Amino acid sequence: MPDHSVLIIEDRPDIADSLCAAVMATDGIEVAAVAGDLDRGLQLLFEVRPRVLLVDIGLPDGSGVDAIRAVSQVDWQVDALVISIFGDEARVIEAIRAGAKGYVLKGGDLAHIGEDIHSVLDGGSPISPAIARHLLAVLNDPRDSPTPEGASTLTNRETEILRAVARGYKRHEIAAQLGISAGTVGNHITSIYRKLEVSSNIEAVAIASRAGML
Amino acid sequence: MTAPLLRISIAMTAWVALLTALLFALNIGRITPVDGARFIDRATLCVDPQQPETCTDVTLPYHSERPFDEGTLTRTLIAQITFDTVPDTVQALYLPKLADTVTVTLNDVTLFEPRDDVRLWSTPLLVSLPPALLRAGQNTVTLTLEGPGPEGLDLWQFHVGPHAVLAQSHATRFAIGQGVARFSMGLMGVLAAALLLIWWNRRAEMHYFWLAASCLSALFILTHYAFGTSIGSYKIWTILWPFSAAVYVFTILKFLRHLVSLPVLLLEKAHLGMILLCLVTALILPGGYTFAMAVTVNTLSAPSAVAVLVILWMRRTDLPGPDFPVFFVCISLAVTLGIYSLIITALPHTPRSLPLFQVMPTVMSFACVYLILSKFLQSLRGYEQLTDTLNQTLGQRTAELEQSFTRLAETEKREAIAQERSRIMLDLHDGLGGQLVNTLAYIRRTGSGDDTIRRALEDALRDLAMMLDSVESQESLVTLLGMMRTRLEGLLADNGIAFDWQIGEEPVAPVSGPSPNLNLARIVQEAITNVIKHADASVIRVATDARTITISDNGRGFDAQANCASDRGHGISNMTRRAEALGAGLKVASGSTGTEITLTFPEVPLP
Repeated sequence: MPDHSVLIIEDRPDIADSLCAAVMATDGIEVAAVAGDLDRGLQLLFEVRPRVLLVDIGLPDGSGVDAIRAVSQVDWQVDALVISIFGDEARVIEAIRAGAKGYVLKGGDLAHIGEDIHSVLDGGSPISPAIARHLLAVLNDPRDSPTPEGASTLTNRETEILRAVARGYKRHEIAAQLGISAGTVGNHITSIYRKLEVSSNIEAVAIASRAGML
Repeated sequence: MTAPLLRISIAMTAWVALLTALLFALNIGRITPVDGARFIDRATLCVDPQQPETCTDVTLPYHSERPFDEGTLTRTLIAQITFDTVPDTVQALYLPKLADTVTVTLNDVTLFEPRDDVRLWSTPLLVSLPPALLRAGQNTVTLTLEGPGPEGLDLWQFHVGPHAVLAQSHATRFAIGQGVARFSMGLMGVLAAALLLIWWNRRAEMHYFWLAASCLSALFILTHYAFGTSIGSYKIWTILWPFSAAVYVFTILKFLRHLVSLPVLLLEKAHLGMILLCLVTALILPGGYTFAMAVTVNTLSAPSAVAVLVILWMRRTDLPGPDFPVFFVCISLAVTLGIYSLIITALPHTPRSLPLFQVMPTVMSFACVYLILSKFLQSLRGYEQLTDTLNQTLGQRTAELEQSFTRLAETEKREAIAQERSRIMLDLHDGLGGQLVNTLAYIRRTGSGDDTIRRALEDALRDLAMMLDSVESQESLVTLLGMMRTRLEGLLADNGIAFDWQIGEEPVAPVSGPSPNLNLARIVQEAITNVIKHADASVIRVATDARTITISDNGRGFDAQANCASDRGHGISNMTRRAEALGAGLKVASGSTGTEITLTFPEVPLP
């Protein structure tokens, strides 16, 4: 099986170099290209057709969120991950709403980045307690649920998992508590991210139709 | 007719009868001798004064027969007045009551001749007797009465005496009779105009209209009392003025019916029908019967007059304030005066000499004035209340507006603070954080710098992350702890230490917000740093329940007392200080199996 190609969009050269090195050091993934700004990044996205996109939010010529949106429209399979300094919820949630599968931390030991990417490719998205708490508030609040059939509301299991994450429990600990595999927990989190993306899309449609754009 | 209605009707009839009897008993205007004047109560009635055999002595008051004949009835009464000497002052003849007119002669000299269109039945007559015409000894006063047959001729006792003495009595009686009638006419005119004006502005309130109509019909009747003039022929005038009294009763009935908001009464229709029937009958019958019809129409109006009182009594609780007593007294008196006048007019021997009908409109005018004034006062009160309410509402709204402005200002301020805070956060995040990360990446990648600098940068980055977490995880301490785990896990793993994560219930801190959160984060950080530095432990256990946060390790422990001055002791005093700022208690227990630090929040959160 060929290595999965990774496109990195990061404006700070030292970080970009570190990310590049971390990816290259990991088996199964390889860097296809590195872009220093959004414009170049979008151009490279279609040229190299990567399997994974690592993108910083604060770019000199725009927001990385635009690149994530572009990714959700392309005709090949590609997973977008946002490069975050702290994994703080506001930035990450914005990215997930746009379609990102998760985030990678650039502040910590970059050696973990390769593992994180593999984890996402295997169907498990990373999540922090603050993000879990935010998701609980947003997805369980009926006011934020734009469709009556409740396409975006959480299942009991998902709520349970988010509550545990919000308390600081790790994936394997939650799996042990619930008697399921760590991979299943990861799948649940990916599914929750998907619901946030869907709900944000429905919201966008609702806002657009209210504004008379549709 | 229902039983209560019948009872009240009987009671009201009795009430009016009682008042009428009382009025008769008072005998207002009775004719009595005047001091200093002769009182003439006898006269000679002559069919032909030239023939003494046709003369008979009569006692005054004299009342003629009342033939049903329109023609003029004439009677001559002669009185002899004897003077010992001729008086040197002007004498006078004072006739308090007569009907209908009179020609007065003294010793065959005519002293008073009536005008054709003026009738004297409602007014006293004072005729001067010049001393030049008086003789010592007998003087003959001839009084020739004239009037319409059906109403009969009257002559009551009269007086002869000094003009100055009798003028006084005459003036008083004139005032009570024609004086009051003329005054009432003025009053009725003014009130009718005022009531019509009110009605014109408030068309829906028909009672004003009907009260005005009653004033106008009273005006018509009063003309007869005030001036004794006739309009048109005897028959026409005898229809016009007495029928006005029946109309008057009708209008009062209408007025009251509207005042108490009753539907149209059968009695109203019956009354109107009765008036029209009598009118037609009077017009058809010869003039000799007109007066009888006039008496009939007024007699038949009496039930309506009593009905007014009955309605008033039955609806007394519906009327506001003193409306009932005022209207009841006024209308009772008015009905009594009407019946009193009817009786003395109708009876052939005229039991009382002074008609009082002219007083009736004056009595009713009290009711009219009261109605207008009470309406005015009511409007004034309503206006004052409205102004009061408006002012109150205005005050309330102003206060509410001020409050909402204050709230708005506070909200704007809070929003401004929140905006400013997120701007600072963003700056810290992207600026400082980005710089630190970039520098670390550079050091790591190039291997430049030494470990101390790298660790210092990593500590700084962690510290910044915890500060941001403290601000962003305001609502939940367990999430803050969870974020700390994420931040510190790498550091712990580097030192071969694992977390035993036992986060249960959310502890409720007495104070919350970024600063208390940061204090809590610092306590936890200090505790964990101590474990890394000194404890030689393999596991750090972090646990919570509703009131406590516990951080314990399986290291070698330390003597909490002995190490007061050491680096570690310094750290513990820092933790204690931060715990106090949180409103929590800090307990450090250490032994050979490890150290346990417990943060305890008070039972009930402080307000």
